[in-house]
Amino acid sequence: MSAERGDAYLEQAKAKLSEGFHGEEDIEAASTPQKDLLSACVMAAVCIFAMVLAWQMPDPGRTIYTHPGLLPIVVGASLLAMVIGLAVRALREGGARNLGSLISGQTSDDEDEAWRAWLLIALVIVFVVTLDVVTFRFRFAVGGIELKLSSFECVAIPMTTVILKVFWRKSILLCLLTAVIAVLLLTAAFRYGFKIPMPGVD
Amino acid sequence: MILDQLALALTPYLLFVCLVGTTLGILWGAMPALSTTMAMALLIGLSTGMSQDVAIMFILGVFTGSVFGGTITAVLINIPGTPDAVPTMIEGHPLARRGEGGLALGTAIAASFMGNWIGILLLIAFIPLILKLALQFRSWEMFLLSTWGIAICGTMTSGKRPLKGWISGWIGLMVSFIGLDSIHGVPRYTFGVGILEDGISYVPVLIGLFGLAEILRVLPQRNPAGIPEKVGRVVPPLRTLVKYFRVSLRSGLIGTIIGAIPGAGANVASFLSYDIGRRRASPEERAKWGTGSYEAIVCSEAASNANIGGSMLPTLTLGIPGSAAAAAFLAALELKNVVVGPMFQIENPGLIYFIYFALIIANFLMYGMAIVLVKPCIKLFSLPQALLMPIILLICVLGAYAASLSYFDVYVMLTAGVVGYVLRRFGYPLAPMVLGIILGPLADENLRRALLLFEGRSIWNIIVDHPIGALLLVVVLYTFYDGIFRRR
Repeated sequence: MSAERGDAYLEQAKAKLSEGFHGEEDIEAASTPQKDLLSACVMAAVCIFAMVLAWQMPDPGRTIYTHPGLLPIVVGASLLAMVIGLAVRALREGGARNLGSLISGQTSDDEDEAWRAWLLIALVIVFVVTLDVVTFRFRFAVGGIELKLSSFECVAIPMTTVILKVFWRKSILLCLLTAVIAVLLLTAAFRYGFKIPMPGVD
Repeated sequence: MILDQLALALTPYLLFVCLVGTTLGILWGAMPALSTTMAMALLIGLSTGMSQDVAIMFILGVFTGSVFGGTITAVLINIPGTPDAVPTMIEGHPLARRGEGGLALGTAIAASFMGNWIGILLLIAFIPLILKLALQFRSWEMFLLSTWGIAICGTMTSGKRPLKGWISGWIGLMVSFIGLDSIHGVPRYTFGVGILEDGISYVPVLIGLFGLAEILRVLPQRNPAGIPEKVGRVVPPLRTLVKYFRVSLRSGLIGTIIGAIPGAGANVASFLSYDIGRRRASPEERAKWGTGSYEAIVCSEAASNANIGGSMLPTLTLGIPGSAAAAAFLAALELKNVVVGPMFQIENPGLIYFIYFALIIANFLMYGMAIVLVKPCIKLFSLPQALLMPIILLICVLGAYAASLSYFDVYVMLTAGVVGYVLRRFGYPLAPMVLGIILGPLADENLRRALLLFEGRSIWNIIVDHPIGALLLVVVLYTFYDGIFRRR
């Protein structure tokens, strides 16, 4: 980090501190009225759906007090009231005016970061689904010790290589070497150290 | 019984495990973007392969080490390794630039050690009292307590927007309803999918929200690597310790109290203690605040470390996690079939003493290892996040699977991670959601049981018969009132 950038960061931290209480997770920077309005609408729809399902739950008990859908309905209704409150606040703050900014109003850095994040999500989904679908295992002996090689290593090594190549941006050979070392060390630690089998057939 | 637990905790193997945990924790915390909660969440999976004693020693070692670890980066390269180290960064980095980095870190180490002691001593002092009180709690009180836990967690995590914290907690509650209802065995929100009848385990959710979601947030960022500066000699100065003894006592007390409030962790503790410390400092000392004050470092560090002991208080006595990291500890205990709550001491005789000793040992080891590890840590700063995060992704997958050897949990972790990432982008805190999932079943079962018991009784009769419940109801209502009308 350069000295100027470091100073700017320090000043930013001081300014934030002077604003007073900002909560354990500091959500202020990520909150905009547009985002609040959109999320409130989505959550309201989910709430209503959940309440309808709760209402339709069968009640084998003799009284409404033990109805399986009782708390889901209470929680759903109070959640609905909260998201309505959030939507009203967002509307008062002008959330409906510039809804397009959710997609187009970001800086090029933000757009780049968002694009990379969605790419990463796609890669992680492919990784997890492939691990579930591809299942095999080899057993072989080295110096009298039986070792295992499962589909986890065979899927994890190429996937980690791809993720490293995209985000670390080093040569493919270095990424592959790093992935091989990391995956083999981790699987050895889990399988032989903690006695935890790998996903799939192990 | 106490001596048996002490002897057990002092077994060479367990000491070694705690040393490894503390060392790993310091190194983890020192690396920018790797938080204590993330470390704790990932450890749940690893702990399944360990015995109960080993798991507790290891996890508490990591917890203690990682809370301090963030200080090193904050002082030396102006990047807080963990969010609670921001006040330390504000004060410590200017000192490091003046060539007093070693002294600043030494003061931070000593203050952390003091803070941990205060947290542990208050934990030991108050656990019997709270356990005694908790034994008076019946269904109605347990329902109100879990509702308050989620509500206050929402308030404490989201600052000026408590509504978003509560929404996050309520979503967690809705998720907790998935599965067979505990009274009649009726499937709720399972959509005919058999595996959903077992419900959603909060272990993969924790790993997803605090592991995967963090990877998705951090990895796409393009951050330049830090340039470490010269440290100098790291010696915790005894004179400084004596000078700031009262300050560290006050800060430790603040940290412990904040830690005991669900959802408020080391971050709130260090900021609050820093703020109170500034107001109470002498005019000469106050003039130094913001440009390098040792007293300010003591305020921040003592509070964030005392938070560990404080967060254990509601976690062990009421089953309500004091912080997100404590929620992970609770999950690890549950995997070892240890049920926390009012019956904790009766059902697990002696375990509480073992936890005390584990915390004390971890504190001593943290003190020693922090001094030893400061310089090697500098090399770690040059490791790019783009190299570390893909490896942590593998640990997320393996950790989620290891918890119950079910691949379904990996999908749960993936879903929680993506949902957590999206919610963070929309400015929602994640800790209340975890608390909602943990406390949902408790709230559900106890509300229905309480309503059944209240059937046919007047409200006045209920209030008279349940004074603690009436008090808790007032507290719950006040929490909502305060969030809606006073934090605008």
